Amino acid sequence: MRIRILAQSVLVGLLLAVTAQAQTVTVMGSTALGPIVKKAAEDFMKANPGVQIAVSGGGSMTGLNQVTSGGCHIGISDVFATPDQEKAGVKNHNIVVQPFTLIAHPGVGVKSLTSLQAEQVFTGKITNWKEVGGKDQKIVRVIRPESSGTRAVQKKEILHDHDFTKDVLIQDSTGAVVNSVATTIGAVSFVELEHLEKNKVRVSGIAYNGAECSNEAVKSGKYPIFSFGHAYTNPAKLSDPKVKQAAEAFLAYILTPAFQQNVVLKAGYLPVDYVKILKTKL
Amino acid sequence: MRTLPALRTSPTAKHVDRLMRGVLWIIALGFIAVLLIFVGAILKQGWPVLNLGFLTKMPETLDAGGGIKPQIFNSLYLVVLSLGLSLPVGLGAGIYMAEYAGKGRALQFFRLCIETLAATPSIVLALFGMIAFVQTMGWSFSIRSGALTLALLNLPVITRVTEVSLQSVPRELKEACYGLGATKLQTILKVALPYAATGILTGLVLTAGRAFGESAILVFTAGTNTSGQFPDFRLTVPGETLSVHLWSVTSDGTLPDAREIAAGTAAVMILILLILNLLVRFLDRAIRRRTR
Amino acid sequence: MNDSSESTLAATKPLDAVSGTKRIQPVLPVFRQSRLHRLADRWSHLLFLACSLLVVALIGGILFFLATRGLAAFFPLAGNTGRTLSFSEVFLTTDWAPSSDRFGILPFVAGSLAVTGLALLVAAPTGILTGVFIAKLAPPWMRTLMRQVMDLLVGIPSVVYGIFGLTVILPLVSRTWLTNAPASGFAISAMILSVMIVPTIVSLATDAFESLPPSLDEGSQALGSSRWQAIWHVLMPAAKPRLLTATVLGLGRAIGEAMAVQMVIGNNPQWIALMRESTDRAPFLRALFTPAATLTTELVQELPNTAAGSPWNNVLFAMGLLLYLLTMVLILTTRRLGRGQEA
Repeated sequence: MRIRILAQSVLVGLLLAVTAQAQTVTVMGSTALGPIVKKAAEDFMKANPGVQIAVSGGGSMTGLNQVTSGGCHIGISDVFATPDQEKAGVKNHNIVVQPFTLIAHPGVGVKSLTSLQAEQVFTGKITNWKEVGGKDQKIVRVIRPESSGTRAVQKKEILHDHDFTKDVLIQDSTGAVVNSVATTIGAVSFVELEHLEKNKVRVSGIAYNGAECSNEAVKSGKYPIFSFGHAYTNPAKLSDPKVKQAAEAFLAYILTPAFQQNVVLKAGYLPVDYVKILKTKL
Repeated sequence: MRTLPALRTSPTAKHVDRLMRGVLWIIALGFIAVLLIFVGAILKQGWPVLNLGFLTKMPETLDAGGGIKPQIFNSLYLVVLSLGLSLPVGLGAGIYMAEYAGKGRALQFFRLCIETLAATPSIVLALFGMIAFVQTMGWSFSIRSGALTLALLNLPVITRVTEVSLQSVPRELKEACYGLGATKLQTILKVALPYAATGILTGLVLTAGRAFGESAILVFTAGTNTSGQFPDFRLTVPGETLSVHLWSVTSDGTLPDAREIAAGTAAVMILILLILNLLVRFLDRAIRRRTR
Repeated sequence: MNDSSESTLAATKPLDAVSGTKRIQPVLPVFRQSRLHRLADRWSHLLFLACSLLVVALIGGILFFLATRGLAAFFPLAGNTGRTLSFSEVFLTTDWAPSSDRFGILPFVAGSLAVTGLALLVAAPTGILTGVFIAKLAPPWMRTLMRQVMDLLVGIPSVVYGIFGLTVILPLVSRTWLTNAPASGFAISAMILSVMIVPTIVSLATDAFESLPPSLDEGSQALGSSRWQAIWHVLMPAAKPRLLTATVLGLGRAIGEAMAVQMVIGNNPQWIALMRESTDRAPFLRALFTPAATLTTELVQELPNTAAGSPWNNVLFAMGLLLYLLTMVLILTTRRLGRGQEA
């Protein structure tokens, strides 16, 4: 008998749960941007009790796919939308700036690479650190998978669209990349600046064309390698005016100076308005 | 029929016999050692992290020191939901196969389907769930997408267990029931199922353990985030479970204490599975006591 | 597990012969039978049939959904918004560089086969021998213990296996291995996979040996053979079809495993090209510790980050379809093996 009562109450609870849906804005996409968007959602929901914001990961392109097809309201992404997706009417909002830097195992004996050297290290023309003034160590290139946004930036900015050599070690996430570089003699990689700053003891940064990566260098325009974190909406699929309003208010909240200064900076990104001159495409 | 080779117990054969017995013992003890090292290492890594705070705090998004409270809830919630979805269908299919399908081609075909579904890799089920529920139904990464896809994983096991348990019901029992004037349906519901219940329950607990540990399916259907509320019974929000959390904190690496959280989560999962295992053992003993 | 119950039941006549359509006269009318009861009895089997048919429909549904996306890579279907690829460039080339429009999935197929093969190399012999041990040699307490050990091993989630490989085995091997590169690759993946699939093989092998008629064993011992001779010359051959089935099902589990392997294999889709260019003196040994990739790991890794409708995304679904078809082939193989045993 007790089991039956329990089962009934569970059922009733389920029904209630299904019917009592608040106004929900769904956000999907980049796992890298996930944490700050989630933090924004928590703050935003506290200030606006009537609104629910559900953030789920899935990857940049999942976010873009879903926002294009109307599967979610906001898609967050490290990469730009494809031409097809743009044709379908998705709208870009840059929400943060993400600086990138070259890193290497501390023992390689190189502190700076020119843009040509950096390119040749990753295309495989340069195979030993002594060719660029370092120790006699084989270069071990650690990179992200094809579909990664970081790799897209690296290919465009460092390799100038040439192909990577095949002699690479591929790591799924930036965390794994940093671990590899820290433990592998001769390793070199390309990561978000925050990951260098968190791991300064284990890996060393490499300047690019003589400029070391830092928030200030990006802000002043001295350091050229960075990308935007994007939030995409698809106005054509946002038919519910209440959801539309909530989604817009949420995006506006992310761009408020308070959030950009307090959270975005703390999370290792840069506020969008640091970079006034927008680059067209990454 | 092949003829038996000439078998003689020569001194060499005796030595071989002793040697192979030794080898078998070593292999068996090896597996025990593997298990002990495995569980020991996981628990040892996780032990320093395990405390009440870790179990009852919300996860952090950027800072160290987060807990796994909603993930524990989501794991249990998804297991219950997916079992709730697959149990009726699995029972129905199991009853049909054991009591109605006869012994012919139909039964063979249904068995083939059940076996295929049981052998389908969970990553394939994940792809299906992603296309069917996340994209086609437009349900996004949510508890409902996850529960429905997870139910596909449970379904063949529950069906199989139901079929086998019903087959083990003594024939005399059913005949006696018919003798008392029961219809076939009454016999199944009032006599066979209650008799088979403990067996089905054991299967259910095993299935629960499997669903609890599943990650590939849920990464692609329930997502890698929690809703930020607790407890959140809504079916439309993303629901990261313990196993998915374990995978995502390891591979994202955004949390400063990702390693500790992964170790703690793994330890919690092992502990929960050990408890489930004890439950199965208990049920098993109950069955054996009755059949004796 | 399935055949043992079948064999016990095969002896009994189906109950339908007793219950049939005509109800037998109740000896003691304990069960009330209103019209409602009789109606329910007549129609309820349709409900049960529907449940069974749902399973059949699911098999078809999975195939359909995967095919709509997977085949879109090769045919101009609705799900294809990019270039249409040819079968040969996808299945017969080893160059995977989707952002440069090259889609050879051979490295993943080969990777899956290699890691599965290596895992079976360890798991099949040890699993079968453990099966013999449990069924024929172990004292009762050891038998119970081994069953519990296998139950626990099979119950451990794949991500926990993965984290164990990542945090315990990988650093250990990297430290002892004399190269400076991380040791991720086939060797460690196979090591973990073999532990994951061994319980499947053990439990099926144990069933196989236990279901053999005791006369076989006793007969050969009466002829003067040692215990091991009886096992090796008589029991093993007799159980062979079911041992093969056990191995095939273990293979199925290994080839479909995603998360644990993804965490330790190193995920390099270019591994074949890399091996070809390598001038290493011990290429096989090096291959064991070279970061590689499999069908499942590549799916986990890249599917979330590819645009729907693009050839890249479609090829990934085609890889899923391939895995599913492979499952069906494996299951049909076990059927074949089962039939061979009955005949």
